[in-house]
Amino acid sequence: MKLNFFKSCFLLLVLAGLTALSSCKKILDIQPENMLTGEQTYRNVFDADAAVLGVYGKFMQLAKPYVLLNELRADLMSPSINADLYLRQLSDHTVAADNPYINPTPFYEVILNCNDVMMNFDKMLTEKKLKVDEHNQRYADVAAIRTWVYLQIGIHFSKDPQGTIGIPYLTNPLASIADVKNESNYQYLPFRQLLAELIKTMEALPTKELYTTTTTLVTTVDQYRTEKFFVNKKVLLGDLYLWNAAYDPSSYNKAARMYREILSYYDARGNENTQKNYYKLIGAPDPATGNQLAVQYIRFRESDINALYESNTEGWRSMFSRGKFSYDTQFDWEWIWVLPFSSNFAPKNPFIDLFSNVGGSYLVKPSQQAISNWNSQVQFNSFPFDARGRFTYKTINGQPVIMKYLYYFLDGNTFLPSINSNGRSGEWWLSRAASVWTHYGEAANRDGHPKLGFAIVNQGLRTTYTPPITATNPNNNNVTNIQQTFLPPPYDFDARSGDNPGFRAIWRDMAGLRGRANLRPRDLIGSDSTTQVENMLVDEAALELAYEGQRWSDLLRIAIRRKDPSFIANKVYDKLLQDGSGNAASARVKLMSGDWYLPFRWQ
Amino acid sequence: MYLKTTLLWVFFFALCLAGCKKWDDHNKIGNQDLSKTLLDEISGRSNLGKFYEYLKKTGLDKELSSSKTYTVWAPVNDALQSLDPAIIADSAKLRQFVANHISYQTYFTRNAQPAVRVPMLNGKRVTFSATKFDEANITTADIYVSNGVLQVIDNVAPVYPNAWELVNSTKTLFQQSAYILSLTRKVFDPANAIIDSINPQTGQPIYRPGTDSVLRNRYDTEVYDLQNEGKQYTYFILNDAAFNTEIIKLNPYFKTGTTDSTKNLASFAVAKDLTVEGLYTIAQLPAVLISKSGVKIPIDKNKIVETRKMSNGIAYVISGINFDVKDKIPTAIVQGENPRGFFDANGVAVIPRQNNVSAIFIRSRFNPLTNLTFTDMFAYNHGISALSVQYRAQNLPSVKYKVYWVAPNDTLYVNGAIVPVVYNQRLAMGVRGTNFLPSATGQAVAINNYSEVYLGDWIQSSYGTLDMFLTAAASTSNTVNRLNLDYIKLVPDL
Repeated sequence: MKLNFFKSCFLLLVLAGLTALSSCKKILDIQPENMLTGEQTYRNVFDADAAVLGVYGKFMQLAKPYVLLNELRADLMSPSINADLYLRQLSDHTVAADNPYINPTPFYEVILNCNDVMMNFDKMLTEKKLKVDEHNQRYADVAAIRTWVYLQIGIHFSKDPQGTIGIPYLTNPLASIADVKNESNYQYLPFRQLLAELIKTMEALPTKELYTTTTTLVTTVDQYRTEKFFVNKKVLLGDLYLWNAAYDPSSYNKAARMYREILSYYDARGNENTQKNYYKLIGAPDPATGNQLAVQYIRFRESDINALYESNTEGWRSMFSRGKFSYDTQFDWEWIWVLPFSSNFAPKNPFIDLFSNVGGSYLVKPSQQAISNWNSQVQFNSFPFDARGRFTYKTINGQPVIMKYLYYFLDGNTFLPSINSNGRSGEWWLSRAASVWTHYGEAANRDGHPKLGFAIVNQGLRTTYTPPITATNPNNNNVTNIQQTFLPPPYDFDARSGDNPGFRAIWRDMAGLRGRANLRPRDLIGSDSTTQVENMLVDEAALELAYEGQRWSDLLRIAIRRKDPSFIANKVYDKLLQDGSGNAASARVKLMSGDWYLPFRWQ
Repeated sequence: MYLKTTLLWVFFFALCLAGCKKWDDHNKIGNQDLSKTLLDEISGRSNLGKFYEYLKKTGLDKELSSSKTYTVWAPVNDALQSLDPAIIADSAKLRQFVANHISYQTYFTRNAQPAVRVPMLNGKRVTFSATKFDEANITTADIYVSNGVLQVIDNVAPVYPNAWELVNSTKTLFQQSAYILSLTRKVFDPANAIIDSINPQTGQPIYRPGTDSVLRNRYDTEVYDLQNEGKQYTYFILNDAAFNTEIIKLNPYFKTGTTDSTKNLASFAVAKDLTVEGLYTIAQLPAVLISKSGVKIPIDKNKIVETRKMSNGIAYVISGINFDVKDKIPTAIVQGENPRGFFDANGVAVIPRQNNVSAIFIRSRFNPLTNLTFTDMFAYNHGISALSVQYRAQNLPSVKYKVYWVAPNDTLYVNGAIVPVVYNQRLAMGVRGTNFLPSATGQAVAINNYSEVYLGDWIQSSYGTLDMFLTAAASTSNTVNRLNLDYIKLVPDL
């Protein structure tokens, strides 16, 4: 009996174990309550909206790699003392295969997400779950995001260092990132062919406009307007043309047309003030207040360093801080595309950790080269520095800290962190008037209008197109026939401002990049103005747009255009040399050989 | 069948046990003996009996059986034989001594390469290297038990005084020590004060007497904190003859109303340059060290009469040190961007404003001669006749100075460019409206001149504060009453 008891106990145990195991699958195979299955999505326009916002949510995970790849590889950003080996590799151009910052997977996750959403939008259209107009706006938006991501991958990655093989291009929805690793599912495209494909996609979009204001997607969520959430397709297509112009010069004009459509977006909208201020890069026409986006001083105290307007709502700096309080008119003068990070919803703001030495890890800092760029400018009051530098980075506890992304979190004067519940908020700065003007100037300059490019870099349209006072031209009192470009579209500008006869043209306050920053103009030397103006535009972008994620692409685009690797190689070399990196010479050799690309490898 | 099943169960348990053992191995670190505490280990070693006895006597044995981790450097019995009976008799001293051999946290010899200064329970630090603890050799190393590490050493680690304690204990021996002690003052410090009430008239708190101040020594705040056990210093003590020689040398530069205060100031000027950071053994001492205030300390090793070990460094008693007076009397620079006040021709304080706009500009500029940026003061269109801008140099030694200024007089930008013109400005020394340099009519300020301009000499008759008044022409015209100053430089003429 005893024997049998043990035996049966043992058997029972074994049986119980087996049953438990076999039933596991059944037990776990219930419908999760906080997730949707395939059949539950894409039923109506609100589902479609949710899908679009889902794409943007995923897209925001690219904020950190975007800023790191575009800035740390270029000449304005350096690894700090806290930076790990991998960040140093990016800066030194010595990346190893295991470097997590060159993992293309997050980029392709967004792309697969887009492909899937686009396929489903088409299906909804056929099934009449979306109206044509509803479909077109959403489809075009998601397609543009995919294009933007592809452009970034194309700029940075290639399977071979010289960029002849390129990157995987896939437009079909695949179930998972694992399918992507099966190379039979797609082809590799080198950058030039990729551009052609992307341009084809963008040109074929049913619309290039923003969402109409009546769209359910344009709303306010948790005090955040969604109006500036969405990628601007014209800026993107303009950028594609600008890259493509290296292979097809007729694209310069196409690029300029696209950019001009943005710059002129408000020409016929709203009242006179809206028309003259929005995207017009205005200087400080009314020095009585600091409530503008220019480097300016209190009126009649412009030679006093203590009179510089600098606060969350005053002066040039405020474009990076005023959105913390309200997305006001001045914010909208400048910004075209921004995505907000909030402590209240995912994804988490990656920039505080990256940049701040207060409440963050302080991994990267401004390069010595960037700092000396700012410190070698002279303002109209002879102050020997560019105030934008002092707004872009601050010295906190003896360390230079990139502040553009931190003003929502740190007080700009005391550097004390915000302690409210949404303290770690911020923005991903993607596109603004100054960046579009810079690219527009680049296109105009190469399209045979260097004077226009010069006007954009320096003191603006009115100043540049006002003839000098000479014996034969004793005054410019009558502006009827001056202060205009007299060029065909997209280069036609009227910047007249005068009395008797009276003119108040909407481009009159366009101050130019240096004009808005209170900097003295640069001079043209000799005759090759196209190259000079292009250099000026690139130099100016370093001062105005530092750390906004455009530097590497600006340098690479011009190096490709000029077929001159030294353009990019020397800039990186100078940075590394000034930072005391031992890899300056080897980085130059590498970049001189046209080896500009990060090794493409699934991780 | 019964046997077979039983065997199966036995086998099963055996497997479990074997597994347990394996897990145990997996978790094990080094060769730690978890069954013993430090106290057990010490008491179990007969050659540490004396140390164990002192642990019991001082009550530190209870500390060692607590749940914290410690490292104990235990001297063997032979080493403790020769311990000063005065220490054994005084329980406080004995506790200090024993605590000088115990630290929190675990220190293995492998952690001591290179040597570390380990903070001990008595607040001191002792140097621990792979083979030595202070001067003692480690005879048995790294005995790892449940609450820490035991290191057996062949000699004691005496408790050395820190620099502050050394100063205290030598106050009758050396005038220098007595002088440094005399720098201790009661200073207001509300950090730990108790508020008794609030004054209803002023709203200021009324502190409980005796709680609102702390004792601070000026040497600790202005030179180095001699009590800091975390740092190491090399400290020179001048014997009385040498100390007095140096004071007499400096007396003329610290002229004041009384000989006592002059001697005090001169004494500080001597003493402030007698401590340097870092430990320099005799062999390591260079011919010249640089003090915190940048003064050269010439060292003649033949004059070292005594060397004293300190817990935070080393002290040398020396019979002479020949400071160069030129090093001790520095050049003073007063920056133009730091004005103290503005006065009109009658000495009435004014705020120079016109149309509600300040006419004083603090400017950032680039100096093409030095290739450096600088900040200056430019007064323009202020509308005040003979405007005086007050500047102050403090703690100025009494000596003759050569006075210079830098006044760039370049283009100012206020609502357009203001074309620079040559104008006159002057510097009143000491009292507004008097002792003008270079003269009562002033100095013509050249345009775009970034170099230093020599104005004349000034004899500072007594040590202390010197006010200087940059004074504009007696006119309200903005072409002649401008003022511009990068800095004033006072160079001692020695």
